[in-house]
Amino acid sequence: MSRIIVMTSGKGGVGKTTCTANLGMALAKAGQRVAVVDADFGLRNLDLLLGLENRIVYTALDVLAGECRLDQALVKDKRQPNLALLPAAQNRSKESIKPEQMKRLVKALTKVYNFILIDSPAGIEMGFRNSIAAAREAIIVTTPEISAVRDADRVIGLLEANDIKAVRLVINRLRPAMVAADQMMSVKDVQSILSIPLLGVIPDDEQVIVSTNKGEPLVLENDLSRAGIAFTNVSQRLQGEKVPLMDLSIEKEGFLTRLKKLFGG
Amino acid sequence: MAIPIISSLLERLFGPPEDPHSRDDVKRRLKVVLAHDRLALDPQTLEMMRQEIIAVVSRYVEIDFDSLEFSLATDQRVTALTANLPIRRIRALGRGADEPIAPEAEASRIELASQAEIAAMDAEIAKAILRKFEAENRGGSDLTNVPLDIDRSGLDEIDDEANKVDESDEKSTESVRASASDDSLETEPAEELTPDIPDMSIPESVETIGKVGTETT
Repeated sequence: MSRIIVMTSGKGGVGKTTCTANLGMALAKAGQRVAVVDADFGLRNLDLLLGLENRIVYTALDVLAGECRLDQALVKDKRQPNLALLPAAQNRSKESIKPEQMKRLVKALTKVYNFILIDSPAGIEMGFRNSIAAAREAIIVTTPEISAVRDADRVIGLLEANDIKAVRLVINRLRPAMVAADQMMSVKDVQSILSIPLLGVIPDDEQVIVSTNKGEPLVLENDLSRAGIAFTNVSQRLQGEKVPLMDLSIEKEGFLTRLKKLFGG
Repeated sequence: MAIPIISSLLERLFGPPEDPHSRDDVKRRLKVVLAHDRLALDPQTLEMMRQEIIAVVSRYVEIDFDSLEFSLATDQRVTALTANLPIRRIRALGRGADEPIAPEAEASRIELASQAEIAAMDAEIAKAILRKFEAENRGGSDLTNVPLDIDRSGLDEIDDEANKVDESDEKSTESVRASASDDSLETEPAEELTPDIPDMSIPESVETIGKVGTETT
């Protein structure tokens, strides 16, 4: 049975699309057949993060309008043939598609793909409702910031109310040094506030921006960055493997360390 | 010139001066805001609930309104309403001995009092009755007859005794009353004291409660 997972957050800009792109790619690398669905009609970005923007011919709306077949709209990744993108329409609004239509699209994808990741738009309106309509599981992406956590909590409540029970948490953009200095919520803080199982922690990493600039997900690199390792770990946990959390702890600089730095440079 | 160098040297050795930890702030703020979000209760309803709870509690005890706290807390996705209502004193005894016992007082928990406490309460009530009696006489009101409806048998001796104390030093009786009512937090009124109170009219506190109720509903 295919797994249909919605990636959502409530708040925008916390890294939903980055997570979808990397997680989709990591799963595909691991041999899974993966379809990533951009549910952000009108503000699509998933194609950019995957570097597939120039290969889009048809979108999900064209499929629904009967102008093409579903397989014609799917953009297959050349670097990783196990991965396909179902693009959203860019020139239309989120109201241009209904939850029932989303269900039909996803249902058709389950015939070929065993992982379907739906990249939800920010907010809790129509676009969000569309993106959760077909999902059986959810991954909540949040950052250790007050507004992101609050919005995540709201979305968790909405998912529960819509009968999506398997909800897991990815904490993105953690800055261990700030946590050590008690200036940022720790993984434990966020998890205990949201009270849902933790799927992974992605450290804040400049390489994320570098990879989006190039349109190449981090997990494709030969020499994985810290965020790349973290995304790979998340994909393995999603497949049921037991992978320990990355050690992100930073020891507070002690007196001796400072003394050494001062004299040893 | 030397001082900044020394201070920067110290800072490099001992670390920057401790900042207040914003991590604790964000956790505290989030817990409050999430409790409200999860409950999805509008502020008006919450305020209504707050006022009604205060009204009910005020029927039994006198609340310190300056330091009462209502908060919503959340743990493991379960939200709890926490009310912290500091009690000044129990209303039945703290009624200021001149005031009548509220009808609701009977419903409150009643515990046996020790011999010393009974004596203290008796004396206090006797004084209160006398004060009320005097106050009414001073005004030359016809209401002076009201206390006579009550059976006062067996109280005359204490009454006389209290009379003396009352006349000699008004201030000291006040302080005795205050301290007695402080102690009274544990010793609530014995039921048999009720008949000693002459006026059985509906007390002021009940009226205010009624008002709060109508405003909020």
